[in-house]
Amino acid sequence: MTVLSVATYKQRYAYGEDYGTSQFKFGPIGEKPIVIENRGLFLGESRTLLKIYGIEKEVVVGPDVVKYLGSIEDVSRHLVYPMRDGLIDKNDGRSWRIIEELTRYGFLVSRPQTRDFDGFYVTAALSAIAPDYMYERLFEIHAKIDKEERSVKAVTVIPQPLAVAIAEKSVTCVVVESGHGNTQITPISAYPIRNAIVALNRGGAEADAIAAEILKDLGFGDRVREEKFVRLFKEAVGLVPRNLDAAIKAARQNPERFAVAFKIPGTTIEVNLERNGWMRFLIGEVIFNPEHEVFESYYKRGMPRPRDTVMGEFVVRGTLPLVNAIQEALSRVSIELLPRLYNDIILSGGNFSWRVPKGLEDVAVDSAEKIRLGLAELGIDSRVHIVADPLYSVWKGAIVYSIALPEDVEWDWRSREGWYKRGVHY
Amino acid sequence: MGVESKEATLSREDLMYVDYIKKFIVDVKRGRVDRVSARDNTIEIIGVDSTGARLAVRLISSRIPISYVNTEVTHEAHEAEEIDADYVYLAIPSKKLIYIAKRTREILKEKGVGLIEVYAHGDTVEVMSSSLRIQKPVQPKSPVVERIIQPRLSEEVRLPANLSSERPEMPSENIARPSTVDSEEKIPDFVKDNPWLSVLSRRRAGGG
Repeated sequence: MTVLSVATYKQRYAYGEDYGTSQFKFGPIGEKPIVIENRGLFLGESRTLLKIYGIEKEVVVGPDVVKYLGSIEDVSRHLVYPMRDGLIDKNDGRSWRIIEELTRYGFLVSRPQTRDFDGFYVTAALSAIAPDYMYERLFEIHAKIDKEERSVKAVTVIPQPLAVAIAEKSVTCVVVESGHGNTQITPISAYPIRNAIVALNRGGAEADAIAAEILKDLGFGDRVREEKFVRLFKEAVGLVPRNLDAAIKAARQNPERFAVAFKIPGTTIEVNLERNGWMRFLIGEVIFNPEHEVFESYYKRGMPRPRDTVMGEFVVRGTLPLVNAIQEALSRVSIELLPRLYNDIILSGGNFSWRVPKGLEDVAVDSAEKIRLGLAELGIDSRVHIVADPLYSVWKGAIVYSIALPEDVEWDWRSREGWYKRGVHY
Repeated sequence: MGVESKEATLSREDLMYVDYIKKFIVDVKRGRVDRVSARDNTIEIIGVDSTGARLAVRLISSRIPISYVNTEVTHEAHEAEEIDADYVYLAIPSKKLIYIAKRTREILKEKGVGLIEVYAHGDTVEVMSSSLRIQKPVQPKSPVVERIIQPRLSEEVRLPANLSSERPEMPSENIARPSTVDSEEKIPDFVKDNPWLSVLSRRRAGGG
């Protein structure tokens, strides 16, 4: 048998894990990862019945979840989505149990049959604001799985924005990651600049909230409890205005141009905006500037105002416009780095996927252009772009990290970097 | 090893960058530096990497005006065909790198020429890796290029002991060498030419 060098071994058996709020992406080096939903089903009382059929599992994850749904009476109690905005409570045993099972599932389906395999070099990616205990629990889980199956030679954990920067091949940049519940701004220059990370308690959920308010105004109040209905409406009609006031004015002057009818396929449900086409711009604007006066009436009638974020001594207003939040993050960075950081702002996450319909280019923009315009208004020249591969970029960055980080760098809590290794740590 | 120059017009800044590139060859490529020469606005550092492959790094001078950066890099990418080395790189001060156009990068890639970003504070980043080249016959150099200016270098820039160009020890098995490993295996595009391979391979325990 050929003995591989450590570097060759590490490249061959590099493994990436992206623990996203809605999906878990994992797998060894290749063109793309395996994707499953980040959820698990506790079989609970039904186990007694299932045991009759020889099924001993306590938790089911992956594609098998669907098979068991019919055997569970109270699905909402047993089907657990472990992460909320990328985080899990320290004492949430059920959620951590799901994470363990998802991680084990990954190794089970990825384990190579080669004779020289002695465990993967695993890089797991977590939210930039994940606390230390999440790192600890992930290490424990990987160590436990390795003891059972010898599938983890070493493991490390990196923040998701760093993985995005790696996948984008950008060493000095600002990664703005916006998911359903929060938005993180992470300046990076070879390392994430930790004291400059700014997190906002808002994301796609705020666009959902304003979309729900619009639906109520249009007479669909009974339907807004269905999250999927609201989300489909948001994605179908929402627009990001170049300038909200100008867009509303244009839409009111020429409502036919912005009129749109949203129909749920296979149903008779149709939402017609008719003369209210201007409302489409509110859905996109709230992501970037929930402080605009037009939203005040919505807050007054009960739409939740984004919560403030407390980061050490700093309090970041939940409604702070996104360009101001970027400025806030970069105010904590050396001025020598600023031109390079403003020159490469990378937008990542589903909350930035806004399209511009043909013919509306004069009033609507994509997310990158919206931020570039906002910074230009503040007198800052910038280059902003949306991540090339929004679905897999974190996993790709994790794979590169597994290959490149030297094997002899051991985990260090101060720098939050290095390998947590078999034979050293477990 | 000497520094050869047609004219001794190198700026102190360029000489500083030369040192950083030498450090890159020694520390990152685990190789040695054999020779440094200067011609017009281009400085060339010749050496070998840990596998014995011959490296040539041409520094784009810090004095090149911004408006001329793309022309100069493109010119050097074409000139690189004549360089007698297995791997050819252009090194460029970081403050000039941002002016390199996408098309210029494509030309570098087509020519198999790597790109090294050199920071004023000493860091070097392999932004694009170089491809192994099939050599063309090399033209003999003009005698004027051979004039040695070693005394000038030693006067202006003191080389720290740890930047010595003496041949270093060969890398041990446990040092990551991502740009050289297993080239026969299929490597995904997102891994190829990724500057983070070089950045991360220099990580040391404790975040150093």
